[in-house]
Amino acid sequence: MRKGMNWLLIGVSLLLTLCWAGPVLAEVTLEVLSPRGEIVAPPTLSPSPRVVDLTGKKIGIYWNGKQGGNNFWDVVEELLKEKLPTSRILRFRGPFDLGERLAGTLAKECDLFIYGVGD
Amino acid sequence: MVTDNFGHDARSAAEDSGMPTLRMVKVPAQEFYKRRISKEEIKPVALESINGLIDALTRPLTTQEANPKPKKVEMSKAIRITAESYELAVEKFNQSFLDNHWGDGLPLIPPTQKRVKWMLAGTGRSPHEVIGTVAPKNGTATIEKIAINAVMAGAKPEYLPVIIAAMEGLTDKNFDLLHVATSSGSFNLLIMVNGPIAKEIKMNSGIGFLGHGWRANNTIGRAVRLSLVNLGYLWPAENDMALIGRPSSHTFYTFAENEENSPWEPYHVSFGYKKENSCVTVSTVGSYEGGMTIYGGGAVAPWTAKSILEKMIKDMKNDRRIFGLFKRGVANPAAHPRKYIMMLHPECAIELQRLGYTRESLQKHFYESTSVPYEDLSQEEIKGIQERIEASIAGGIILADVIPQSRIPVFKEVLKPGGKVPVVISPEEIHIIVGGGIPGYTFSISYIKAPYAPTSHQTKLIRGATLTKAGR
Repeated sequence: MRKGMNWLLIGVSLLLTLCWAGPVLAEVTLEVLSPRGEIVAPPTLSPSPRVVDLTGKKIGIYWNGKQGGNNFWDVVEELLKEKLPTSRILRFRGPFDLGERLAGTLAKECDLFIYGVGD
Repeated sequence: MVTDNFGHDARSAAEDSGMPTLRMVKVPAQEFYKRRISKEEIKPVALESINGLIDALTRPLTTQEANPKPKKVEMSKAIRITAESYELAVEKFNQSFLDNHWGDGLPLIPPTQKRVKWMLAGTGRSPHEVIGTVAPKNGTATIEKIAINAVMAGAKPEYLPVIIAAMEGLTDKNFDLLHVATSSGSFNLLIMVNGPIAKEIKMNSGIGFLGHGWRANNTIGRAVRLSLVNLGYLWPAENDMALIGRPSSHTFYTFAENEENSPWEPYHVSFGYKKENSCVTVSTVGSYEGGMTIYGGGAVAPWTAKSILEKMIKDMKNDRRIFGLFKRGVANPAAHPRKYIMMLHPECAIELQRLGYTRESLQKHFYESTSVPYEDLSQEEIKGIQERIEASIAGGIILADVIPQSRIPVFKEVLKPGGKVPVVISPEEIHIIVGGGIPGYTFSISYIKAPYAPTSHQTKLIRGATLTKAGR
């Protein structure tokens, strides 16, 4: 009788343990391919060394012509002239992509330049 | 200098040009756009930025700035997603892809190796074949990568050759993908299929042809959208700056020309392709400015082909942007000459054919009827077109404003008493397409001349198909 009770207790304990542990869950793994295209990085270029002192320098301002940007750059020009009376401000405008010819002109005529795209 | 809301876009463009450490000074977008109306208004914004500007120009470069390293894009061939059930794994996959900006906001089909192989069965072309690079970040478009995106879009293998041809059009060096993909102007794409493959893959060309409910129309367009996202690394508000988004942006305007009800040869035949060829035409179109204008048709009010034609001509003729608004160095969208897509509903096209028009003679009729007598131009308009001609010859202006060299003699010739000056660059800039069902609407969608590459319109041959009779 006692032996039977023991087996019953063992059985109940096992059942309870299984219930507490919860059902054994299977894992599903989805392996998918990357949709991204490979990018061949272009060669990197360093920005030009900075001009430590702007006094007497030729400062270019390039604007892509988007309307209202001219008002902003007019004020910037005035402020630069106030701060740097001996510097010259040269204004340029054209498409957002300078192109080699215009970039060459800027490099030739200016000591440094600001590229202001207007948006 | 750049507004802060375009900061990510500008940095991304600098990286793409090999200058990842380019110094940028940002001005607040919230202030700049509303205040740029006058010097007085914008002055506080300039004052706020001037010290930062001087600092950026003069502070010595750091070692890191002076020795930029290219941004390395980690490419993983396969991605493993584990979850407690298939449903949860698919959910996890979708969320992960969207979080990475690899999706489009709608549920995606997981591109498992097996499913991609299934997709590739639709073409005989090598999975490794490179068809081009995709703007703005110039990711490489291979047949396999396009197939992966086609799987995600829910396309069928027999659509793959069509999707590849569309991507060939968009990655063509002459096609201005950069503008349609990234511009703040919310431009859009039209993807049109011609030839026998359209019927074989059950594309809709009738009632509802620009809408939902046709797997081929919708998933071909969506596969192109996802390919642009993943091969061009395109994402809204980061480098796709469409301010109001792009209408139908998940699938674009993807449809087949209604060849069955058209009185004329299929569109691609007018480009020298054979009737039995199948082709895809990709074309940039407007969305709000230059969006659809309906000229007649429909089930409600009566119409005549003649009245529709007159209304279209009147609208085109009133658009005199080619004459007076151009000014060198000033970006003015209202000064860019137009390209027109004239979408005629079949009944209207049939009536026009009865009146004696062919596709070619209709293009010519639009071109000639809208040209303006020299005597009707104001002095300002004459000056405007003269300056445009001179600037087109000298160069250094945005391509959208340029009169191509081949057309300059035409404009010079008519710019004198007795001459008639065209409002469009050439008759070929007016595309006549037959679309929609019976009844239908006749409408136009227009776009400007492409600003960053020679063209915004390409027709490509579909080839390599293995599962359809056409497009092989």
